[in-house]
Amino acid sequence: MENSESKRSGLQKRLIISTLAVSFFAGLMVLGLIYYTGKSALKETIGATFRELAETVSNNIDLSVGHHIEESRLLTSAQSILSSVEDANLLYEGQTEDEIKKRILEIETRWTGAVGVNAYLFEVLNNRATDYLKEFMRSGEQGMHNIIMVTNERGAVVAATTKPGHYYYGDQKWWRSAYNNSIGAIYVGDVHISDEFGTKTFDIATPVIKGGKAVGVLLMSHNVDIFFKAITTAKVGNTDHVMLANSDGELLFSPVPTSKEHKIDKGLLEDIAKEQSGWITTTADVHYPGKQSIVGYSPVRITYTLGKDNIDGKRWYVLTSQDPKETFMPVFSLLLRIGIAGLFGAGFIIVLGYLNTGKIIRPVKELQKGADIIGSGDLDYRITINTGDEIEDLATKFNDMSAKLKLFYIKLEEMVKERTRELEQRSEEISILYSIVTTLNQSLDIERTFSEALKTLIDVMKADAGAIWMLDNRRRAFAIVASAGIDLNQAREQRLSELFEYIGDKIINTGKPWTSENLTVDERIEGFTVSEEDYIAIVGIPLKSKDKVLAIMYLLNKNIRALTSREENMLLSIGSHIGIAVENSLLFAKLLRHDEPEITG
Amino acid sequence: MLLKQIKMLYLLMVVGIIGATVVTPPTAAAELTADQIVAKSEGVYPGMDAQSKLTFTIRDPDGKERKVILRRYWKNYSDDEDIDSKVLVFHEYPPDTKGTVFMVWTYKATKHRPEEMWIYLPILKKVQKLPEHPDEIFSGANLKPADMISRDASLDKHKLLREETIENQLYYVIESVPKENNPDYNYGKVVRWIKKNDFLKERVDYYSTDGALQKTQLITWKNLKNAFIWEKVIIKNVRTDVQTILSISDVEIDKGLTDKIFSERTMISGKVR
Repeated sequence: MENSESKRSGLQKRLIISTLAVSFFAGLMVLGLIYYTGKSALKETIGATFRELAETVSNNIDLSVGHHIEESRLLTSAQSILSSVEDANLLYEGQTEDEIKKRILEIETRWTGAVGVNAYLFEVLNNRATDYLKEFMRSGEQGMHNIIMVTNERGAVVAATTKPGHYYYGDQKWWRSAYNNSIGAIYVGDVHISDEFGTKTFDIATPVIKGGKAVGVLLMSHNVDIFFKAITTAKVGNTDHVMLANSDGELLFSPVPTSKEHKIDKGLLEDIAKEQSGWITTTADVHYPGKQSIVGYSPVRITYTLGKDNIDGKRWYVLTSQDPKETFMPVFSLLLRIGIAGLFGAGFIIVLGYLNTGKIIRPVKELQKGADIIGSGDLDYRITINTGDEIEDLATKFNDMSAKLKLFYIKLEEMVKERTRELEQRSEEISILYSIVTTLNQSLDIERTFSEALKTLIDVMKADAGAIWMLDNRRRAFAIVASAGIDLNQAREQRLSELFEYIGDKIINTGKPWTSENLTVDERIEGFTVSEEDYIAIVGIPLKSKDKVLAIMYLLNKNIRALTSREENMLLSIGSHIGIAVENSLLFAKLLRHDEPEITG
Repeated sequence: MLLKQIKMLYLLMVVGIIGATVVTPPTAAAELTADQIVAKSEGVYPGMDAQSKLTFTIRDPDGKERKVILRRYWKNYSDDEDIDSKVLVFHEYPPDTKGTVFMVWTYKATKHRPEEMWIYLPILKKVQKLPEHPDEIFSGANLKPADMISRDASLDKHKLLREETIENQLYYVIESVPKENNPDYNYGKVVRWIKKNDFLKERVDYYSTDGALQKTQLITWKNLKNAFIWEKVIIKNVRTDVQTILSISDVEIDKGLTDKIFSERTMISGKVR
């Protein structure tokens, strides 16, 4: 029983687990679908946003660089700058190129070595041009410029907002490019680590033009971190970065400090180094390597339009990226919420499953209980299930099966009884035959034979009376030659003789017994009336020997009495034995009397 | 205006006397007295003659600048018994003073004879002799004649205040106080920063007789044909905050200038031949 209970609870558990499993996998599929579609949608949206951000920053850089170039041009056109440069250039009058170069290098050597009290330095830092440059710097963002300085046509410093590291810059690329052999040209340098300032620096050098010729150069050296920080403040989230890289893959600017040697991945560089803006997904993001990040990019147009000497012949690209955690946070947040809801749902499913499976299990339990009872032999037990489903149908089938089993069982019992009865009858018949044969064998006296035969058969057949109808040699007609249980008065004998004669004719003609279970309603004997005190059931048994009917034995019953075919057969057989005994008795009597007439049919 | 021009002339003459008569080239020395250091500093070799262009830029505290350009001819008479040097100065800029010429003859200190000064004004078309020393080289220049003269070391008491390193450069810092009052020299004291390695003075602080700092002079020297000459001079007046920058360019040394060019005739003609 315990095992059965455990099985029943196991079925319920399995049903609940199955439901949970189906729910779990369905939930997983939903989560997967949400994750996939959500992530794809987010990628598209955030990618487009990052691309726009990169474009915005790129445009800002274009505008800002252009603006600073214009500012630089304006500075070079200032009278104080022009006059300072011109005065400085005039100081070389009368000197040969070698002398000028030598003197400049002497001052440079002292400038970078034992400076001491330096009138040149004092002049550079305290002149009208310098005041003008300082005033310009003060009007702008603090820290934007590392230095703004002006050189003469030889590359020697004329004015500077702070002490320059050198006096002579004529050998620097920015100076040569901007002076451009006195033709003059705007120079925009690539971002580099400045030896003088120790910071990432971005230079714009502008020629000081007088009379169509370059007479000096103005250098505007920018602190990259501040220059680009102001431009790249646009954000779309909390962790997004706007970076600047050049076409060599060097990371020029990043809000997170990096070294100059910090290069972006080659593959990423190939993806972003395009003339059109866009966005990609990559695992090679500078700040989040190994994680799938979305990177927006846009070229800085001005780096394409400036001359090849500018930016060291390189191009700039703006990159925007974000911590993937923040990027995909909405999806993860949604998944988390759905996951939590799923857990609640799972709990709800467990409760519902328990209740629902209980509803399923209860009729199954009832079915099982009924099967047990029916199996134990109680075929009258009926299973009562009203679920209106297959289980109810199954219960009905069980009940039908039980009913059929019972019917079969009853029939089987009847068959057994029938067979038993047959065996008893056969045994009785054998017993009767044995008794009669024994009786007949014990006497050759016909009267006694008749008497014993009647007595035995009345007893065996439970009849009320009996008579032998036989040809009476003395009367020379058929008559009742023997009887038992009958008070034969004349009238009764008369009526019976008439009846026996009528029936006897039929028996003699057919050689077969003749029976009537109720003479009063038997249409075969119309014309004969049977009184109430007479017998209403009759059996006529031919007593035959060698197929000749020697006499007829009638068994009479006052009540309705029907014979079975077996009884009829038995009586026919008995009649044959008695007939033989009668013939034997007649033969014996003939032997004794010699004149006994033969009975003929 | 005339007075200003006179003052300027005087300045220019003084500038020509920067080089002292001592011909010993500056050399580094150890354990020198203050007197010796000053003597070496004031005695750097200026060359035998020189011609140069002087550009003065005067900056007012409000940032306004004005410029004066002069051309100077100078001849060293170190071998002469009486004359120490002669200077001829042509005014080139601003235009309103162009053509003005000054000439100064300086005598040896031992002669106790004051300088002689002449001026040629184009508007007057004649040369005039100036009777007195100007207080200032020219108006607003912050330079007195004494600032530009190589003052005889024996006229002052010298004291080595300290040795000082400025921007990796070692200096003697020497205080010099006049032994006697002189109406042409009205400083209470001067403090010089003299480079230890070559005795060139690169900074001079001038104090008034009441001990207050008046101005600071910064000098950058140039070595040309073994001579040491000024190339850049900054004078900053502490009181007025006026700043004067003197740039000396187009310098030629020992070109063999003759005596005859230091004459009234040259002043009138305006050309040096």
